[in-house]
Amino acid sequence: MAAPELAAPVEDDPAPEGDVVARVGPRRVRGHWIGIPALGLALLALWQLAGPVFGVASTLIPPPLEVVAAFGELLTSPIFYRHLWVTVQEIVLAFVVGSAAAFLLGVAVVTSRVFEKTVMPYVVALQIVPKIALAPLFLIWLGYGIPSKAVFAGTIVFFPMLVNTVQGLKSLDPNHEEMLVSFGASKRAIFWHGRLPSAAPFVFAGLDIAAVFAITGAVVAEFIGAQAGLGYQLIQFNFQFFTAGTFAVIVLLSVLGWLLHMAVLLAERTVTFWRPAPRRGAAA
Amino acid sequence: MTGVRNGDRVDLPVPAGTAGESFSVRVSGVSKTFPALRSGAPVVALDTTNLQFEVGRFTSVVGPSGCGKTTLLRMIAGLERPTSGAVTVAGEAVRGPSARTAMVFQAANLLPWKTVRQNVLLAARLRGKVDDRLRERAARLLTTAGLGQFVDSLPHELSGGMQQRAAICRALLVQPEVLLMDEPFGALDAMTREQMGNELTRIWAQNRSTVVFVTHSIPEAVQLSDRVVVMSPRPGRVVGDLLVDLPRPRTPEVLESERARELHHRIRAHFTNLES
Repeated sequence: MAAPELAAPVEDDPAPEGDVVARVGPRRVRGHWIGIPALGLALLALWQLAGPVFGVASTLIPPPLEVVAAFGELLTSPIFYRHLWVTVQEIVLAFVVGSAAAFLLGVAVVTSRVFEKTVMPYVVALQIVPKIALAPLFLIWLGYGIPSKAVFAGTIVFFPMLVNTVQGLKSLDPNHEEMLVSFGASKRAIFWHGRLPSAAPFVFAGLDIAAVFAITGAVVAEFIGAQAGLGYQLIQFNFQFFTAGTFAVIVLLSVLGWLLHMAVLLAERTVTFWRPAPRRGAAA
Repeated sequence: MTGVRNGDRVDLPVPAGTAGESFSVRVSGVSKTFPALRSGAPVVALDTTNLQFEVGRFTSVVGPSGCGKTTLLRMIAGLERPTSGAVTVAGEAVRGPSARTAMVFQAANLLPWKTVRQNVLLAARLRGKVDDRLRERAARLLTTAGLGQFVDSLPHELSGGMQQRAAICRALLVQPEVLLMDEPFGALDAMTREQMGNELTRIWAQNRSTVVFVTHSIPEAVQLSDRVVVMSPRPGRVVGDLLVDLPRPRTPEVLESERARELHHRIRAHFTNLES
């Protein structure tokens, strides 16, 4: 698993001196509305031609049109929606419960020194355990259904979210904190007016990572042992050498990831309204 | 003010009897030593100091970096504890941030997630209830400070000077008995700085709270103050204390007068004495 990324929030543009109100946005690169689809189509065409021209078997790399056909097949089969629904539930459960638990623990760690000193070392120690090795245990404990997958994916979501939350809650500018103290702010007031909002960009960076991890976790857990779900179906297609089907499931999982990412982005823009438009490229 | 000839060093301590009401802030035998960092010796930021700040007077504390002026201010604000001695504000010992004082920092320190109005109301909110009358006063203050059109703007949409004006409004809104200012215009360009100084004195003239204003700029001290306390570094201590008997408002003519120049020289002399 990738090390949890710490996304540093983008610093605000310092406002210019004098009574000029200015807001400098990111520089626009013109022409990308044509460039991106053009490049995509070119690559797809190359891929489509790879089979006939270079003699690549379609069971190894199915041409895009075959994948599209398989996708269509999936969308018309009722059993597919059962698989989709199972995996969506696992992902959402892992994402929501895993990141909520991590956020609350993060708040506890930052608000209580005792908590930080006693609990944090165990959390860090547990993080070292390769969680994939725990997946078979979750199967024994929780069965082959949704709970074992959700819990497994949730444990993967947990740590990066926790690290980001703690980092974020500690990111309050010391000068802002001192200002609050000088006006008699209590610890609680400093938390609500200062720490919590200052943590928001970090929390959303954590949620963005959590979204990807939740999907990865759910799929991997289904690989290890499941009777339903997109990961389960992917393995089945693979066994049947229905590679186009495998590709179609991969595309679908990516779409799910993209949707979750966009949801996080939308929430972030709503909540952290005070930050200038984020200058981020394609995330994770 | 009694018993002090203008431009002369103020005799300290001032005779008992006048002290009770006329002094807002008393700094008695106060020193501050910061513990040594690594191998170095402990740093004496402020040597034993006695100072009084009179009610309703605008006093500047000038000195180069390391003269303990900011430390002194922070102890009055209750953000730092003296190593020895005591600070009292309106007769009460300072044990922490008090509702009698309000601080304006070098940086505006506006919270980026709150609008200008919310930022200005925050201090008042932390110290008590925010009612309609307070909201109204906040609006008036912001208008006076030329921020009337920006009450719903976010801090990053304002210039540095405008942000600092909002910070001053925030401090004034809590109606402190003592307004503490730590180089509030230090981060601004010279033009904005002078203009802000004028605005500050204009607003201050309306209610005349006690002001302790820390700066390293002699012209700024002369422009704003009734009295200037001069400090020297290593260890930080008071080396001069003058009354600025220039008429208000401090127009360009007043500030370019013979008397203003003389005061300027006398303050500067304290520094040149140190170097020789």
